[in-house]
Amino acid sequence: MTFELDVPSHPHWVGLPLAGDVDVEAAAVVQGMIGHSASPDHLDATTAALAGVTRIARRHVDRVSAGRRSTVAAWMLLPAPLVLVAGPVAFLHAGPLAADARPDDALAAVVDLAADRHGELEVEDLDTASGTALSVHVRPVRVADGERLVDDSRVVLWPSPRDGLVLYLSLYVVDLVEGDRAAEPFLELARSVRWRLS
Amino acid sequence: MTLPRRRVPELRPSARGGRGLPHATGDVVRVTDDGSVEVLGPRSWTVAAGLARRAVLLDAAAGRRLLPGNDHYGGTVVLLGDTGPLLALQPLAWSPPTPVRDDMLLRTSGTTAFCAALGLPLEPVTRRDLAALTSAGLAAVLARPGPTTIWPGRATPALLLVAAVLGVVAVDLPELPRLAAATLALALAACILVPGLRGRLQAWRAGGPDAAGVVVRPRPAGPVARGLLSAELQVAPGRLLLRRHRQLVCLPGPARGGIVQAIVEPGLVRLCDSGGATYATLDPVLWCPDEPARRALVADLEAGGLVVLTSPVDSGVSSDLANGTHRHRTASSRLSAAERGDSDATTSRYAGIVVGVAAVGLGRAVEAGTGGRAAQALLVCAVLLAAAALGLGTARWWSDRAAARVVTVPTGDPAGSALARR
Repeated sequence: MTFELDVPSHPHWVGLPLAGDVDVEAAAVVQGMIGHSASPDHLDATTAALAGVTRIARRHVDRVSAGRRSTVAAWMLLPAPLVLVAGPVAFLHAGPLAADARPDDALAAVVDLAADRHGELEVEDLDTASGTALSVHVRPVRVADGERLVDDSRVVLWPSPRDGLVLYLSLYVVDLVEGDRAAEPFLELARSVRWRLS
Repeated sequence: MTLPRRRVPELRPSARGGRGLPHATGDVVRVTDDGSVEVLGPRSWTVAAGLARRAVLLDAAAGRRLLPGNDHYGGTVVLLGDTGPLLALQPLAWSPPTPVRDDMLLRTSGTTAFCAALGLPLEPVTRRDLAALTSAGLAAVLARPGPTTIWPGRATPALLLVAAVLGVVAVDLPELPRLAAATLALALAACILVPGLRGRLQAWRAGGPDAAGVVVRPRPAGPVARGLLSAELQVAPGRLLLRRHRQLVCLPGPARGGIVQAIVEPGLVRLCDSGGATYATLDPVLWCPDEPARRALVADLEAGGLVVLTSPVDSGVSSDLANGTHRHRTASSRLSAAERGDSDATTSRYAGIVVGVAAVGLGRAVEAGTGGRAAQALLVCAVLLAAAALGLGTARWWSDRAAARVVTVPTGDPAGSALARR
């Protein structure tokens, strides 16, 4: 069985290199995006920043893989097209799903429904290049240093019980306002994800 | 002394000048110990503890649709209760004088700490919230730092014009109608003069805040515009007061979880909080152009209780002074008429027209040379005075220009005289 993924490039998202040498791959991404116009100093600084984000993303990938989930791809959100500044990272993960699972089970496999949250759980259908997906918006509550903090988490999931897997794109932002700004680019990215198992 | 790491939930106005100077230190929006919100300013009120259910952020576009003014960049924070909005504030109007960035504005203005103290996460506004908000409802709870416009505001030139025209026409009238017209014109002029003068007198009497802590002054190496030399930075644990360019701004000090460190870079001195967010910048051309002045500045800031770090590279460009040679360096930031409490440019311009009309009236009164001439001249002079009081906005422009032109060299030992302890 082969997994095929096709995500067209999006002006607000830059793909993070999850394999290979971090510094070499980050330099290649930066060179490809702004190499024609930026100064060597700016290229070096941007490469270092992108490599830093990639290292953090790879650590998250390792944590996720310990729980029988694999990471297919990761993208970093840019504030504006071609402005390479560190931003929130969206991950495309794949996890196991029982053959007789219903959509609710797929949701429960991806989102911790029992966790403390602010406001309502929002679940909607989303038309994507890979068919209808479930778009979930949840605002998890986190207590840090005695202070109650509310984060913003969005997940778009494609449950495929027939193949025994659920593919999901997730974005976690530690600020509701920032999360709201990221919502539209995130949904655009999700709509463009085309995947197939053959 | 252990310093609180968290920012105290308190917002202070952005830089104020002119008639607005007392408001720089007097106005505040804060969360009190019992959880209620206290607003002190031109309009003071309290939102009782527990009434606010949500804190939402309107983006600039929504803010512009619903509220007047020019402080929309950075959005509008609204506390919503069960029955409607309880408090609205625009972080830009309560922000320190740094080049503004959206994400930093909420933090440096204290909005983030303000919402955290209320236990409310700041949420983006929803369509349903927007549908429920009205301009009148929001304006009624908008906490805007002073000064307020002096009555009758933009209607002033119209009232003055009526007074001046009455004066001009009255010259040719018989005695009784002339007296009536003159009295009416004088009453109209008094309507403008009395509140205008009272407002300015109040601000003048209020004076400046007492000096506290360590006072740091500029130590330029060469000639600079005279207006820049009156700058000073007062560093005390509770608050930092930065006075420059005829502006005053009150910033949270180390004891209030605000500015705790100064980062001295080659082309920039940044005053930052513990997380590195910049609250204000000082231009080294004015404050520490050479090594002795730099050492003296570091000593002053450390004496004030700040941690001073030096960096060999610049993290940005100073926006304190306008670019150019030393001789022509001037303040790059000017306050708006509203922030100074002056009449705006349009009102000043129309006031100028009124002065012209009044001058015609004075000329005619002198020409007429009748018995009512003295009263007529008095009337016209009163109108002229009122118009001149209004034209202060224009006068300030002239004085700014003059300050930029006159260059001077500081005398004496700047390093020794600048350090003053209370």
